[in-house]
Amino acid sequence: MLNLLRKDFIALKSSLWMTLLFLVVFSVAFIPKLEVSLYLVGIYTAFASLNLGTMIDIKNHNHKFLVTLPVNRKQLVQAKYIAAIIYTLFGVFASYGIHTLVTFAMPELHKPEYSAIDLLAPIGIMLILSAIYMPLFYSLSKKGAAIINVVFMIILIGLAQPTAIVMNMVKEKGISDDPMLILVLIGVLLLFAASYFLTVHLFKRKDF
Amino acid sequence: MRWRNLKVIISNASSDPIYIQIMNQIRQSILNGELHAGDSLPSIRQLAKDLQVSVITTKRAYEELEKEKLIDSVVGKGCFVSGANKEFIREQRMKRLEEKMIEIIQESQEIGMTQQEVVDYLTLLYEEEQQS
Amino acid sequence: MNALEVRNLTKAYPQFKVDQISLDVKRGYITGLIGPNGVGKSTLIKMMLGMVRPDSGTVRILGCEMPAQEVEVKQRIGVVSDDCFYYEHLSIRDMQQMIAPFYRKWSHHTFNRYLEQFELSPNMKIETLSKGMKVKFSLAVALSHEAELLIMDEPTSGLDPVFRRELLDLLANILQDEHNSIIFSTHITTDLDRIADYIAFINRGKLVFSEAKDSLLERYAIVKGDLQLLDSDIRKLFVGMRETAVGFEGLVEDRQQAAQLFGEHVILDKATLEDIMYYTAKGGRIHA
Repeated sequence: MLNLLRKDFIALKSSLWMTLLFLVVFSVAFIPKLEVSLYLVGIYTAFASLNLGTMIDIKNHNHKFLVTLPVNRKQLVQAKYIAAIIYTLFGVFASYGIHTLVTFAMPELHKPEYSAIDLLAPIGIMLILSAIYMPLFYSLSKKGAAIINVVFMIILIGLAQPTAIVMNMVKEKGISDDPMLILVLIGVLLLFAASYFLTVHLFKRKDF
Repeated sequence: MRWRNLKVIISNASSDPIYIQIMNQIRQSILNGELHAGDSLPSIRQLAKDLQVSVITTKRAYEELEKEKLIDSVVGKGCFVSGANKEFIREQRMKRLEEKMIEIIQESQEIGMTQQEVVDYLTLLYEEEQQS
Repeated sequence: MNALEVRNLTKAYPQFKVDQISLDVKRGYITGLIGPNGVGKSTLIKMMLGMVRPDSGTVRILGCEMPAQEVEVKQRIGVVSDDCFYYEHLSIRDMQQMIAPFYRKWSHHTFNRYLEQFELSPNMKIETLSKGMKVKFSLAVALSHEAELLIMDEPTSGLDPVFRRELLDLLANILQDEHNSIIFSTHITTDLDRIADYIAFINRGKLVFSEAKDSLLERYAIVKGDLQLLDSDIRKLFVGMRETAVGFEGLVEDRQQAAQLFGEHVILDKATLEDIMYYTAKGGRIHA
């Protein structure tokens, strides 16, 4: 498993700066304008990084090479799901870090105090996004996967404003009562797990 | 090469199958004394590599030579020229000697030597050879 | 003992079908997989490797069931293909760092030695390599983890004749250890004329034969003669035939039968693998 993550790291070595670029671009774009910028910067950065990490494997039909290595397809999928979690955590915590900095450096932007739920929410959203994205990516051809990537990006950008409004509403109503929160959390994790098994199933049927 | 006494040359133009060519040449080398009892031969796989032929081909050649009791293969040690079939080898060499002697007789007749002259000449050479 | 056993492997595509192929690759030998392009050689190899799922049939490699034990199997095999898809933007050194930890028995020393022998520099980017260089690189990878079975899919098609000869030596070197085996698919049969022990011939998705090359070449023969010798019964003896204004040339499966039948009236030549492939693939009568 470590070898597969290492493989991603080596393959992405020269494009790691892109991840940082995403972080900066999204921060500049969202932080001054939107109140829920913490969510958006985290999710966008995480998703864009996940995109990089999946596209690298199909750019040159590299799955054809990967399936000759002494690993099975389940492990290949597993590694990508773990990578998705890593990107998610990275995106959200990096966003949190930037927002903490901004609160100090530019108090005039009036960024609110953040609580644990403000970190859990984007993580949850990102896990749901990955859960939908991964089975599509692994069952489609190279061209299909590229299209899916663009579609997801467009949806994300298009939904930024509505999401922000919904989130504000939800926040005001407050879903922070504990049983509800735990239920949602379990739901998200179940969806992520189900998505993993579906992807393994789909990827195992693929011919190279 | 360690097997400097072994010469095998394969011809693609020959109508003989390659394994026969290998067999003939190794047999020849043993019969004419270039290879002696106990001399080691290249392994089946080494010979296949050197000749760029298939392993099956060299294996078959060695198996045939083993049947003729000209070579022995010892598991884990490789192949050796057999000492077991001395009678056969001697017989074969005598036959070759006979052919050469007939050749000598024919040539001596062509240049008009008598039987005695040939025998004397042979005796002389024989003694010289022994002294050296 | 077989290094590889394929049983009734079948895969149907809209355009063609790999049909009920059963095949053994003997341990310690080179088996050549021949056949014209696009008859199912690559699909067969991909099914062996678990890259393509067969509709039915089984594969055993080195005593292990595929694909159930594929991780173990892939530790012990090397794959060389003319379309091996590495990460184009990486250097050979990066690829090495990526690949090495996957293998239990990886040897950096061996790998570097092959790079040197193949005149590849670790700094070269994969995207700058020619097709032949990519094959060399994938060969270096395959040879650096003590693979017991080398599976090569059209490895020589991108190689120049000089390296093709060198490759034959390399393969013979690998076979010095009698536990090692090689399966080698190609449509360039001259590579195999020399060193292959067994030949499996695939045509139109089916296995035509799989047997020792020597017995094959002793059995088949090329007959050349005058057109007047041919009548419909005699034509039936030929696997395939080429007729021209000045005579005919054809492949027969039974050399001795042909020798008895035609006697001194024809020329009987040794058949090459290419002859066998050509006439079998074409079949019937070819008018040139």
